[in-house]
Amino acid sequence: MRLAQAELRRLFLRRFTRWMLLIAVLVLSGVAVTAAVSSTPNTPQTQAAAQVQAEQQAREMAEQHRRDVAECEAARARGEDVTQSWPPDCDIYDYSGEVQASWFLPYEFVFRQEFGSYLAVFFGVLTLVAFLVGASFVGAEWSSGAMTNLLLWQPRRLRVLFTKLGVLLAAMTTLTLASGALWTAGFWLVGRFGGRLGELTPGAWRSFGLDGLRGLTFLLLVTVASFAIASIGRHTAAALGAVVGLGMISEVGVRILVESLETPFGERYVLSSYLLAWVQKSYTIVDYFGCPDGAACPERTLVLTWHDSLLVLGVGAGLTVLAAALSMRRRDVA
Amino acid sequence: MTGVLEITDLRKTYRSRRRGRRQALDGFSMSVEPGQVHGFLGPNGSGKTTTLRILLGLVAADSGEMTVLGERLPDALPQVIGRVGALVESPQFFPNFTGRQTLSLLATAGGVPARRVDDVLELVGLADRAGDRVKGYSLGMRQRLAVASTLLKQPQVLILDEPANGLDPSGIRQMRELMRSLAGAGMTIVLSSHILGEVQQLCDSVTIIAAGRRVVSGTVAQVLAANTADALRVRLAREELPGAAALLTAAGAVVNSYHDHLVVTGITTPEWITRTLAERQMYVSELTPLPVDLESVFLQLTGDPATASTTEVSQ
Repeated sequence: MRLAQAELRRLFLRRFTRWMLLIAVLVLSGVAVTAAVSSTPNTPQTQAAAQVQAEQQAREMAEQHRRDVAECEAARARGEDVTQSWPPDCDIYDYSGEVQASWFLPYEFVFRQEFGSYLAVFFGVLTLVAFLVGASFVGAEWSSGAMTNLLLWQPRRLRVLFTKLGVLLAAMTTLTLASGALWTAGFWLVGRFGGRLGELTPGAWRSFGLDGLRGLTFLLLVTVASFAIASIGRHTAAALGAVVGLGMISEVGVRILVESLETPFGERYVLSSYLLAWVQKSYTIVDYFGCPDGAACPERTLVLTWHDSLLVLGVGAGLTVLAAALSMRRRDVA
Repeated sequence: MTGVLEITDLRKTYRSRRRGRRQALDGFSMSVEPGQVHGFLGPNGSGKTTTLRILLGLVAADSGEMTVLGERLPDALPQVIGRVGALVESPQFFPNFTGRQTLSLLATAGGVPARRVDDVLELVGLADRAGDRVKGYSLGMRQRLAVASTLLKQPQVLILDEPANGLDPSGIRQMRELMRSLAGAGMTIVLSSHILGEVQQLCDSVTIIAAGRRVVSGTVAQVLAANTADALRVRLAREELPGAAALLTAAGAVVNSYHDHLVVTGITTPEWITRTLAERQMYVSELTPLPVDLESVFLQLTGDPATASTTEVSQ
C-alpha cells in the first residue's frame, strides 16, 4: 500500500504526465468549445430567416433560368449550335423549385446523433495520452536509473512492476471516468442549450455507455501494452519503436504477403482490421480471391466483431505483460 | 558465519552474445564484523560492484552463500533491506524531481516517517538546495543526495560504492566526518573507494579483490604489516650502489635501484644484507623497513591479478 501511494505520487509529480494531461485537456476543451460555438439552436426565428434566404435563392435561380433560356433561344434563332453550352431545344432544367429552407439553417448539434463521434474523439485523445504516459512511467524510470534506486528499497521486483502497473491503470481509469463524465455533461449542455438533445431513450444512453466501456477497455489494453513494452526495453522509446515496428510488419509486410499468396480473407491477419472492428463494432472482410480466374461467383465475406478484437488485443496485451514480468524477474540490473 | 556481512565462495559469470563469457567473480569470500568501517578495494573490473549488486539483489549470483545481519540472501533480502542502506556506483535519480521529492518518494515507498527527509538533507548539507531539481545538481550534490537516500532508513549496515566520487576536497572531508560519526554510532559501513588514502584513514579493516578473487583481507594495520615485512631501504655510498645491487641480486634478493638508495625485497632477514655487503667491504649507512601505505599494497597486490595469491591476515 505504501508503495502504491508512492507510485501514485510519483506518477502525478512527473512533468511528462502533467504536460500530457494538460495537452489532453486543451485539445478536448478545444473540440468541445468548437462544437458549442458552431451550434445554433433551431428556433422559429432561424427557420424564418432560412425560409427568407431560400425564397430569395429560388427567385434568383428562377431569374437566372429565364435569362439562360432566353439567351439559348436567341442563339438558336441566329442559327448557332447551342449544344456546346445548353441542352438541345434549350430545355434547361429549372432548379429553383428544389431550394429548401433547411439548406440555410445554421449548424445545430444534435446530441443523440453526434455524441457517439465525439466520444470516439475523446477516447482517441485519451488513449494516445495513456499510451505515452504508460510507456514513460516505467521507461523513464529504467533509463534514468530511478528504478534501480527503487529496487534498493523494494527488492520484490514483481511487486514493484505490478504495483506500478496497477497504479497506472487505476489512475487512468479514474481520470477517464471523471473526464468522460465531464465530456458527456458538456455535450449534453451543448445539446440542451446550443442545439438539440434528440430522442434520448434508455437505449440511447445504454448505447453510449457501451461505447464508453469499449473505449475504456481499449485505452487500458493500450496502457498495459505500452507499459509492458517500455519495461522490457527499459526505455520509453521502446514502446514507440514497437508500435512503428508492429505497424510496418502488420500493415505493410503481412498485407503484401497475404495478397501475394492470395490468402482467403487475408485481412484477418492484419492488426488494423481488429482495430476497425473494435471502433466500428464490426468489420467485414471480403474474399477477393474466392472466385476462379475471371469467373463470377457469390461474394464471400467474413465479419470480425469487437469480441474477436477483444480476444486478439487482450491476448496481445497479456503476452506483453507476461514477457515484462519474466524479464523483470530474471534480468541483472546493471 | 558470524559477521554482519558474510560472503562465501561467490561466483558470477556474465554471458553476452556480443562480448562473450566473462567471469566477474571466481569464488570470492568476504566477512565484515559488526561496527566496523570495512574498505572494499579493487581495480576497475575486479568484481567489486558485481559483489555489491549481488548482495543487494540487483544481480543474481551463479553460486555462493551470503548473509547480511544473519539473514541468508537473496531469499531474505525483502526482510533485511530495511536495515541496509546502499549506494551502488553513480547515483541515478529522476532528473526532474527535486531532491526533497526524490527522498520523499523513497521514504513513502519504504515506510519511513516523512520528517526523516529533512533530517538527512541537513545531515549531508543539502537542506538549502532541497527544493531544486536534481538535474541542476552537480555530481557532488547528487552524490550527497544518494548518501542521504541511504541514510533515510537509519540502516544498521551501510554499503557505499565510491561515495566521494565527484566531491571536492571539502566535500570529501565532510563525507569522511559523516562516516566517522555514523561508525561511531555503531553503524557497520562497507566502503568501496579508489581514494586509498581516505580508506586508510577511515577503515578498520579491508578486503582487496582482483579478478573476482579475494587477494587479501584483515585489519588495515595487519594488511600493511603483512605486506611491508620484506621491503627494506638500503643506503650506501652512492658510488657503491651499482656494485651492491649486483651483489645482492646475484645472492638471490630482488633489488630496485634508485639514485641514492636501493629497495630490497625477497630476503629472510635484514642482517643478511649487512653481512653480505660487509663481506665485500661495502658498509650500509641506513637499513630501514620501507614505509608503505595502502596504495602501494593495493598496487602490489592487484598489479598482476594472475599471480595474486589469496591471503587472509589473522586477526
